[in-house]
Amino acid sequence: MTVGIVGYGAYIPKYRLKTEEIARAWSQDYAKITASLAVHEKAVAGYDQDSVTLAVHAAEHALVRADISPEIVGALYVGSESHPYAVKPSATIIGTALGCSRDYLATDMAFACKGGTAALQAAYALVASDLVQYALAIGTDVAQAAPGDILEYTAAAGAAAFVVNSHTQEFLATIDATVSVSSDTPDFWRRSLQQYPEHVGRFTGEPSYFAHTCQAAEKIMAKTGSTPQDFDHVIFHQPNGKFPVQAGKKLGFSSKQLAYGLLSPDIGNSYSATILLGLTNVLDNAEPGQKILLISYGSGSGSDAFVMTTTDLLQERQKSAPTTGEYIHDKKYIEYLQYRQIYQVREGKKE
Amino acid sequence: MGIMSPIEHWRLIKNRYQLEGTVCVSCEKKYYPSVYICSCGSRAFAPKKLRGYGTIISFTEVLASTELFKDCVPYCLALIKLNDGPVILAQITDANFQDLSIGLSVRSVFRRYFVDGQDGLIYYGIKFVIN
Amino acid sequence: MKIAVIGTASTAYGEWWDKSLRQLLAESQLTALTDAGLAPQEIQAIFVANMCAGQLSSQVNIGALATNILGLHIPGTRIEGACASGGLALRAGIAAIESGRADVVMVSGVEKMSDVSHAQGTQSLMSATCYETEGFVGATFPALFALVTRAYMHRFGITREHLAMVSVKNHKNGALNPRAHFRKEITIQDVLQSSYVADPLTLLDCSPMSDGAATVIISTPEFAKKIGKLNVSIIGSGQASDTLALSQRETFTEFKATQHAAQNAFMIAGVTHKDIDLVEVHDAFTMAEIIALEDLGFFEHGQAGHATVAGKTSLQSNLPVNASGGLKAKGHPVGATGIGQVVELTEQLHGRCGARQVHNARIGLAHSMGGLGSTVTVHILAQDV
Repeated sequence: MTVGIVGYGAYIPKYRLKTEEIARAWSQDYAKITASLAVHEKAVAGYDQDSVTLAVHAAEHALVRADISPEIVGALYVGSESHPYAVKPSATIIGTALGCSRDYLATDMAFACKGGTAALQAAYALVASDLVQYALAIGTDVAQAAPGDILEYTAAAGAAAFVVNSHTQEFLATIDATVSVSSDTPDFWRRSLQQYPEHVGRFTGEPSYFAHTCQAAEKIMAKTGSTPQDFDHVIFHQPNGKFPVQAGKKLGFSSKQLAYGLLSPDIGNSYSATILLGLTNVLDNAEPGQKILLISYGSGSGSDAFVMTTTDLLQERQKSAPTTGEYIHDKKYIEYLQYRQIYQVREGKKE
Repeated sequence: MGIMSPIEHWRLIKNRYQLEGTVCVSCEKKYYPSVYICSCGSRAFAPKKLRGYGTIISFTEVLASTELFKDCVPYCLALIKLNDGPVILAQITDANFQDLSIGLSVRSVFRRYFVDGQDGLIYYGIKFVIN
Repeated sequence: MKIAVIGTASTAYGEWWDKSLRQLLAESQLTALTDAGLAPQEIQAIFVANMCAGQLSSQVNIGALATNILGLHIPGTRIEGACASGGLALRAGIAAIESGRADVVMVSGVEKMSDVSHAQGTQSLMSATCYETEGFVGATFPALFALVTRAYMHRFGITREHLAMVSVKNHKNGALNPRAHFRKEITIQDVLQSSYVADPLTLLDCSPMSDGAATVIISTPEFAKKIGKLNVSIIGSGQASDTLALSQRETFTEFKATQHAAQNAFMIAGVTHKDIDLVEVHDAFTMAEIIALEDLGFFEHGQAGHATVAGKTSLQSNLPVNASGGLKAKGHPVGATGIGQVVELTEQLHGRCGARQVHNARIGLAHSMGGLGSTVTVHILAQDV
């Protein structure tokens, strides 16, 4: 049976921290940082927001676009690397906030920055196997990095949600194929009781991000008998503004194909949500019958790849809920000290 | 002191997460969260999820607060008349105090209200943003 | 109704670092006995008003504490109605006498607020409201009153200067009261420029948290006459309630419970507003005094702020309001406050108030409010002729 996306939603919190402001706080060279990262500001969640609340926003929009009641959601999968609890699922808090019944399957997932696509893949499989009718897949993060670490420039917040089922007449986009590659690659990690992640410099590039991204891309193009020119939109994971552009070049895609899916220069890297926000932005702007290639990357490592095709119905639902672009442009700048204070208050810490 | 038991919070979860109130089966008057006897005299009620759209009746900015909220100041608090009828007290978030006014349109959002330190439960609820 | 007030006592209100809850209570109880010229054994029942001791001092069962202090085994009962606990305890004492259960009753109130931080005190006071809806969302008592204030200002067009005048007046009176928590005069500018607690209410719009205790001894008129103490009597009493939660009210600019309690008290006392010579109202906030004067029926809705600015409630006026300094300047040891108002009225009716004496004080009214007018009592006292 064919499985497709019948609803989607994005949420990006309104606060923004500029690269320039972080560099000022740490007396670093702003020009050099921007040149190397190609990210000029990042989205920051308020002190009363976390991965769960962001997910609720995005999921509400997805349910509106799908035009379904939360009570018929049969499965809710949420991928994040900043679940508020190590033990107590985000999924059931989100489900209760949305108004789901008790009659659903709920699970938290995590795989660094591809927790969201892992959720989407699992939702696809649940529907394809006919275990559930409607599955909700969410990628959400309020990412943290150690103060003064280079990751602080890009660790951001956001959420994206997708409703998936097998009713052809409801599809906004079909999911035509999905593949994954996985390996044990020590590029970026966080031990379970630690606050902030560790990473190993340039090793995060070639053997990590690029190796898995390219392998998954080649694997899915082989599986679907496609070439780069077949795709209208290509979305890569975007830990900075440079890696996705380089990946595109390596694999033979043009910058036009990457345009709608590349958001991190403006909003930073919201980890499990990043690539899925690229997808929501593509969906917000796509025309009927367009082909989408999406290749996520999660450190540790792995990549999930998807091929999708948009439908005529998509255009009717694009404006049913706030678009990704509206959230990108609804912003309020904050200072570095406020950014640190927000974290303290959110976590109930005393500093 | 002042931290609610997680069990008490659990009992109130539909009120606090879904803006669920009650509706009188006889006269259809809506309440948030609930009453025992309707103003029409009936004691029969059904749960009713209220829509999160309303207008501000009055508002304030809190600058000195209780143990639970003292690290969150300043924050805005408002009496909001929901379009569905009942009046609710809630925080207004993502807004400057200067932007608030009586009669302003607001809509509900799901947010954290407070945490029980670093080990305890996270207490979520409904706040409002400018519509 | 005729309940004689035969003895009174009050500690000074303030921060008593070296006095505990029980020490403050004991002081006021023993001083009241001396004032009445009675031995402890002549007391037949004790009612004690207190709100926060369970939370802040881990001590409830305070009725027993009060009888322990006098070394007695008589009935001792703690009465609570948030900040109206004092008024409620007085009503319990009156009921004991009117029912014939007792002839001589001690009614005390005590509160100890300064052993905890201000944030903890604020937290505790929030239990007077609908905690699970209002405390949960971060309301504070000042914030709830600020919501009322803004709604009132929007409806009636008064300004922060009108509110400030209440505070200025009460501080001026408090400066003449040796028992007051604050004995310094302030100006309108002082109020306007003090820091905001919950906009538009500033620090000087809000009564303080205080420690203190007050006691009155009441009896049948026959007993009072027998000991030569039939001078001042309670002639009217009323009580009413309203929703705990502010959001459940029909109106945000009046407190119906005050209106009902006042109507009852006036009806029982058989006097009218024109007969009242002085009023002690529950000015937890400047706005509270203004609304109270309207709800009690002394001014039309929307007018009490203008009346205050025009000096119509000053010590020198026809209707001195809060000659004691009110909650604002005299202080607000929650459980003691309502009893302290009756101590003040009794002393005024005895002509014992020195610099703050109200001339020709013959009939006085005390208004005690818990929560945002969710529990209200009104008492009327008169000189015996």
